[in-house]
Amino acid sequence: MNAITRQSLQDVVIRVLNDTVRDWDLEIEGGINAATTLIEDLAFESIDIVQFSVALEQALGRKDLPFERLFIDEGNYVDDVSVADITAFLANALQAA
Amino acid sequence: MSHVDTTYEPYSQDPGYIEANTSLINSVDLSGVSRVADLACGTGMLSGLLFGRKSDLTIGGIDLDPIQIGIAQRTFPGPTVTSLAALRAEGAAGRGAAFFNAGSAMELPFNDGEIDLVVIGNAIHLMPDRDAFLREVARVLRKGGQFIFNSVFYVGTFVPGTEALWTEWMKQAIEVLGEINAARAAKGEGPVPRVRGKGDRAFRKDWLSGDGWAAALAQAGLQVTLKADRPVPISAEGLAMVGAYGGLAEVLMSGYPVEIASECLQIASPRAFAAKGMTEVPRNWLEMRAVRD
Repeated sequence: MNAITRQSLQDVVIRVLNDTVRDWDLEIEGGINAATTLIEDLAFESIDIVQFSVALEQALGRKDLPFERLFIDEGNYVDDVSVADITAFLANALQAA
Repeated sequence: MSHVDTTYEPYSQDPGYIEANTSLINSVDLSGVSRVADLACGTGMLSGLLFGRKSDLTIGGIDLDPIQIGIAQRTFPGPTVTSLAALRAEGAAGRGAAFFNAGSAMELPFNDGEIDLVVIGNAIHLMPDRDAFLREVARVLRKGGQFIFNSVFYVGTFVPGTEALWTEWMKQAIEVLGEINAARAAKGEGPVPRVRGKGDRAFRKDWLSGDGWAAALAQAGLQVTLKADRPVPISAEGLAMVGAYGGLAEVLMSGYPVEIASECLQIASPRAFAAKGMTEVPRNWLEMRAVRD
């Protein structure tokens, strides 16, 4: 993971998201990009968040990424997260590992 | 697939759950209390605890689920009656009893000011219209009547440093689902079907903090006299029972068949604790008590 760049991480996030929503019959204008959000734009339910997290870990060859730091803030769930948020989280988590 | 008991009954026997509810009920001053409403009563645990403290109470228990109501009827430690009129008659005669009935806690069958104590155990977060619910509670309470509740679904429930266990539990549930799908594939069957759109969007939990609840209660004419966080430990076995409860499984794994969702969450619990090297984890219960203006 040392050589992985922010751009390549974002590419992984977008690829996994595209795989996740492939059969969901969504119309995503311009496709998934850095500004796309999981809940407002992609209509994620709670279990979709978990399945997406597991799929991301598999894509990155990891099993212990602390997604709770991305999704829970000061005791409450966040309102939404964007592809850019996820990419930044992954960059920090992988750097800390 | 193994059979999973998806009713609330197994979790209602969990030591931590019992401790949390026993503490809540034991903290209530029952002097001057005769008529009780137990809302979203489930299997009737709070009703039973109240009756154990004071056997001349008349208790009206209400829950949407007729299966839970049936369990409450069978397990209540005192006499039960079959109508609200009969319950009122027992109360008028100075005899304690309970009447459990399937119905919505949003539309209570009680008269204005008829109730001395309203309780709702770990379900207030499920009320579809919070303010309307609190107004209904205030309507049926007499002046000076008490309202008490607890909940593990509020801002502050996660003890700092324990969040990873809850994330791991859900990730392990997805792994179990993958194993079930692999077994199905080996038999030439398709994966477990899922119907999307059955659950709310993620994170739309609309949780309140204790202070948020206090403000909502005050707006309904209910003045808070107690607001506390009670850390209660839960074991792998306890969490497995929580996960097996169908009402939670259909929320956490929305769109999957409830039996399979329950099985995944049940099996995932000990795996999550093992993965995190933990034997139990504390989770805060919000306890609140208020008095009708």
